[in-house]
Amino acid sequence: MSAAADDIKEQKHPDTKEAAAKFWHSFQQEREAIRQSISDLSTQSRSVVSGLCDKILEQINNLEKKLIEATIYLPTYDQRQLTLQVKSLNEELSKQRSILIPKSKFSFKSRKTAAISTKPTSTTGTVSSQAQLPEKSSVNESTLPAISSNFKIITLHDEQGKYFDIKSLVALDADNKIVDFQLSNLTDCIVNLVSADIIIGAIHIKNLKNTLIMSGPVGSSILSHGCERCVFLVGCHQFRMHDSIKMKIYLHVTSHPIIEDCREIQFAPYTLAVDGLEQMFEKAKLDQSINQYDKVEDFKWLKQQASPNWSLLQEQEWEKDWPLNIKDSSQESIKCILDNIVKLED
Amino acid sequence: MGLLAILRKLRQKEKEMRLLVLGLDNAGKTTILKRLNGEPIDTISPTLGFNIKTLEHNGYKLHIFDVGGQKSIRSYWRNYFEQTDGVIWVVDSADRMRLDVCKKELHSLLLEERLSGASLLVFANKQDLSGALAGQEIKQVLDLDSILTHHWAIQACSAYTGDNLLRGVDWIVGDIASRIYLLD
Repeated sequence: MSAAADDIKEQKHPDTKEAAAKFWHSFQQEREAIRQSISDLSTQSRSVVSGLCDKILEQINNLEKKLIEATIYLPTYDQRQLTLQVKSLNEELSKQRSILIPKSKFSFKSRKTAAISTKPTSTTGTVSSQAQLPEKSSVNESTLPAISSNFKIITLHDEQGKYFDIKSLVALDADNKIVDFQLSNLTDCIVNLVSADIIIGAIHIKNLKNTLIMSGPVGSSILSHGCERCVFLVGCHQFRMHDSIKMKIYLHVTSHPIIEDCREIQFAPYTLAVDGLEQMFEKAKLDQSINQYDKVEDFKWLKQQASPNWSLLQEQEWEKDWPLNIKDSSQESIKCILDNIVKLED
Repeated sequence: MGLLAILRKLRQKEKEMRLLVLGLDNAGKTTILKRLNGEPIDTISPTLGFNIKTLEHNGYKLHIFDVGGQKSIRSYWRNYFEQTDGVIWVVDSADRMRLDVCKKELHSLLLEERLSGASLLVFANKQDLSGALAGQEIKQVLDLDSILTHHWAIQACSAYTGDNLLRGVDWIVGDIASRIYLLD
């Protein structure tokens, strides 16, 4: 059957045989050149070997590409042989590479210097391709007392009845004032993340109870899980909330907010009013003129009718006076403030 | 074998591939797709359903399916498995609290029979965020080294800036091409 197919093909292209022979010849020349440069690797100095390896890999990839393009006229036997030859080239290269460059000596380029590459980097084997993919260099983070921080992520967890201010969480003298927040297992807390100097990249929220979160515009998204009786005052590109109940969300969002497995969620527009709010929106690259807080989509309610799981908060109930500065941070005072703002029935 | 050869040749002329973009919600799947297609990315809403885009890349026609990742619609992923040549698994590298869920979903996806021949590209997305884990760390957390059933690679990237997206796509297209369009 495959012979028949070849016959048909050959009638269509009387010169396929010739082209196949020609291709075989040029393939062998290139293969020989690549093999030569692989064996030359051992004579090169160590500092340039890695670069040379990449170059050779690119040559092999190019050769393979040509082969794929040529399969249209190559006989099956040639295809198989040449594929095997490409494979063995790859194997030879990775063998040489592992001999000349010990694995532990790999150093990865910084992400910032690795610009978008349009060059093909495809390889057939997983091992070699992993070795080429660039790595992000680790970022040093100034350690802050009592708060675990890794990279530029600030984690607040397992706290009760406390007031947190972003100014005390992030060192203002840090070079890079973009941080991410991870908030989990907070009860009866007030978290004030409003700052004109610090840009927040993302906020991840999990298991909060009776807690108020206030934040300036956030560069990307806010994701929250498992919250109960909380008030959020947040601005972001995307807002997602899961498994939550009895919440008030004062939101500026440039896309449709979504809820999933939620009940009794009330939405209101972002009522934060501080000096320099416009600049804060600009820094977060968030469009202040688009707010779709009322276009909520409920993934657990795919019917035409409005979802019973959320509603809009009446304008007269909107909170506008936020506790951005408090004098008394005792547990009682915090509880009093929270009671005033949360105002949710049991 | 003969028929298979002819089918392969037919397919080769079209040079088409079907890629499936999956991952948890908030991973950035739609943003990656829109960024690759050169569309604006600043008003993307969470995906309720799916998006399909057809792109030309290195002479191949890529049909890319981006399916929403919310928990309640993950069960619909299987409707898209048929004839998939490659899976692009997108990870929100800054979402540390859900990496275990992400790992579980990925490994259960790979048990799917209809995806058994597919190449797997893992995008460690959101490298622009300061809290993002590096590609190497994502690789460890997701235990990618234990995957022996699929060709795979991991690529750290940022859909927001566009960094390294093409590298990843180049890899998966090349890997699929070498599998489908060459008789091994």
